[in-house]
Amino acid sequence: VKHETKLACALLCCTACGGVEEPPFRDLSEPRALDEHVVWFDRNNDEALLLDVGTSKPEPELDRIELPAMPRSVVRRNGQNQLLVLLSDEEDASGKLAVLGPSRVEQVYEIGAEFDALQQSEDGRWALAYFSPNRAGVDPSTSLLFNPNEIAIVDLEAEGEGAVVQRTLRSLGSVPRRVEFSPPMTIAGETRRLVVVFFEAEVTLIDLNHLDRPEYTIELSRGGGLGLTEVRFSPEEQRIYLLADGSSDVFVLRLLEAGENRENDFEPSLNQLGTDSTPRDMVVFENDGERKLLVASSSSAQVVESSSNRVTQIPLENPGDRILLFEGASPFDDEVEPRALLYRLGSPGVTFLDLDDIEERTTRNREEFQLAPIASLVPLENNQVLANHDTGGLSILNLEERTASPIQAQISLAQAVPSLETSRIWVAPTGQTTLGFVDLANLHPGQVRLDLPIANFLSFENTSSPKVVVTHPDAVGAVSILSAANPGDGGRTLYGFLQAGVLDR
Amino acid sequence: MNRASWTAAWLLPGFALFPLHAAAEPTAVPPTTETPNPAAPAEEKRTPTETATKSPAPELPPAPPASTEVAGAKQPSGPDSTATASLPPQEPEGPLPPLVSFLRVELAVDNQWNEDPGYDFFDGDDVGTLVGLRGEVEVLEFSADVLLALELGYASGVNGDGELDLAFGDPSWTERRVFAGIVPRYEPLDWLGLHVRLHGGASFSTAEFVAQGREVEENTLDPFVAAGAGFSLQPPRLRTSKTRLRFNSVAFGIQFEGGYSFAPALALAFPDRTANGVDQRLPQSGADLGSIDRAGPYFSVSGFARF
Repeated sequence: VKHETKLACALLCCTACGGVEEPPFRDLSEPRALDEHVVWFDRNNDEALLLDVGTSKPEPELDRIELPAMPRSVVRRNGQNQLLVLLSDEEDASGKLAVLGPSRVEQVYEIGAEFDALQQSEDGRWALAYFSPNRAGVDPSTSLLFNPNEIAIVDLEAEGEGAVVQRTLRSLGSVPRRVEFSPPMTIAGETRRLVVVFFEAEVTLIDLNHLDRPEYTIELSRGGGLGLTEVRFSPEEQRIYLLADGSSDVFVLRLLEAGENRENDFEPSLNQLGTDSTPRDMVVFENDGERKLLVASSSSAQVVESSSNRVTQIPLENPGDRILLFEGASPFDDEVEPRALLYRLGSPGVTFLDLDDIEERTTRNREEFQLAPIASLVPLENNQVLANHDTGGLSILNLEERTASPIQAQISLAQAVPSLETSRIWVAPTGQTTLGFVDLANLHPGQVRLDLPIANFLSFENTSSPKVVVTHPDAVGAVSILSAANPGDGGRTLYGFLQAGVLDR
Repeated sequence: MNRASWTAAWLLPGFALFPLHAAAEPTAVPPTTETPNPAAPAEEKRTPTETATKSPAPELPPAPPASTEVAGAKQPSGPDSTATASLPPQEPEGPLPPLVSFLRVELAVDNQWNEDPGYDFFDGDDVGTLVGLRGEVEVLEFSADVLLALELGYASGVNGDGELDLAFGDPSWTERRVFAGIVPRYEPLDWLGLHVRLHGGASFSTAEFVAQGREVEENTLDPFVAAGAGFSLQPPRLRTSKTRLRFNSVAFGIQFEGGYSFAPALALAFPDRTANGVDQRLPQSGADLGSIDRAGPYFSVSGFARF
């Protein structure tokens, strides 16, 4: 019958019967690594495209996984071989959270609104979807109305309606700016995780063990413009430390057992520790069985004994507003003790602080170290740190030996990617055709010439043999797959997979 | 088959011998001389009778002078040849021989429907056009109005305005066909012919496009077959010669045909490349782009000249 119809049409028509319906073009996200696949999300066609790079002879073919709505943002689920995908259904302005595995969508949660930001707990069990503070200005095409204080908390180990709890946070006029999950904390005799939601001048605490209970909203300042920036948890002390741009105080929330008049079984108590300048970063460390707080405020560091509110100030010669805490020896002390590296991005020089007895020894526990201005600092294994310099080049900083091994480069190394599993630092400069690497064992640099410019770099440590994948800015799809152990041998380029089967669709 | 006149017995080779007949065509045979031409096949004698049933002989023109001599005519030899040569040529008398035609030349435009979505990559609509030339010779006459012809032909076309995906550019699909066919024809009326056409041959296809600056070209050679039917319209034939031999008439007409064509699907792929250390550092595996089903209906319009 079909052929007869065709024939009739052919006999009756001398010209074309009309135009064709053009399929929608792809709008692809940045690639992600998932298990042994490179994954792209197509926002126009509501699907995930997976390229298997784990086999011994990968083929330029894509697996497609249909998504129930348009993918908006993606994060890797902590501790799992899964991606968490925020989906947006523009028809009814509703949102979904999909858990994407290597071969299928494993779970879909109805989270109500078209949230555009997602935070998850360290163990990957909990996820909290919320509206980012600048959403309205960035994404005008979304829902007409939205409640910026609405959130959805998802228990990713649960199924059904009970897995999602939607609520609107109490607000004093501002909107959530940031969300953090606490590590497990034993509070009022029960181990639980808390969610801390940052507002401009207040924080909200939500007990994940008892989502049916109301949250706490703690106003830290009535003046506004506080600008909360950092949070540190001290589970052993049942304390939460907070910093703000607009205050020189360290805000301390002590989590105490609640009285009978509370629905919750704990309640926070606010305390403020004054420092002499605006603190930018802080870490909690333990020394002689006592927990202390090290705070950096650019020109000085303060050690705070929160139990006694005693503050010890250590002036810094090299500016340092960021702290990297580590435990190890030093050139002058073989004892493994807590020590800290203080630095400021964009400034030359760093400072080592030996935290043992620092309240008594103060500047004698301080050592300056000259280093080119730092663009980023990434911890490596064995108390080594990768310092990426503003002036180009890298340094491998040995925190125990307090030495720096420079790696010079002809290009900007902003895209340097350390891979602890492969014991290499990979340098994948965008637009270049050369992939560089440094072997952390002997700091020997090497490189591989590719056929196409570099767009993205992905590392696959979970494949049968660790691999690295470089994607190329080619609209038909191109990736180069290299052995992480021996990048110079056995590489292969897959070309055209984004258009594979295009004539059959 | 009883009435089948096996002109094919000599027409097939006669297709090649045609210049010989054409040279003999002007020879005028005196009507008084009923001696059959030994060079002419016996079947030819039946042709006027059979053809006359569908093409009545036109009215006789005035007889030319008997002394008219036709240039190029082969003079008979023998004892009477001198006397015969000295006599003025005699004009044939009686009805003119019937119009005979056995050769057809067609200029055809074939519209091939390609409903496979993959074809849209090359062409914005579903129709690919081939322009070609066909030659057809009538080899078998079953009756006065039923005959069988064989054809040879060539057609080609280029399609390349498809822009379904921005990742590709300059798509072009060139197809060339060489084919042979068999065409039974039935002519119930002087001006109307019906036919069925079965043909097949080789299709040379070149598919080209540019992907991100890289030119991709795929050449294929595939067989194809097609079957169709249609009709032709032709005005009365014009006499070009007063003989009963070939090419004593010409007719121009138009033919319409619809049918269905079968051909293997066209598969396209990015090429695999081996590393050479110079311009290809890593071996490359190219993706298969899929295939285009080339079977589909066609509609053909052709203008023809029939001799």
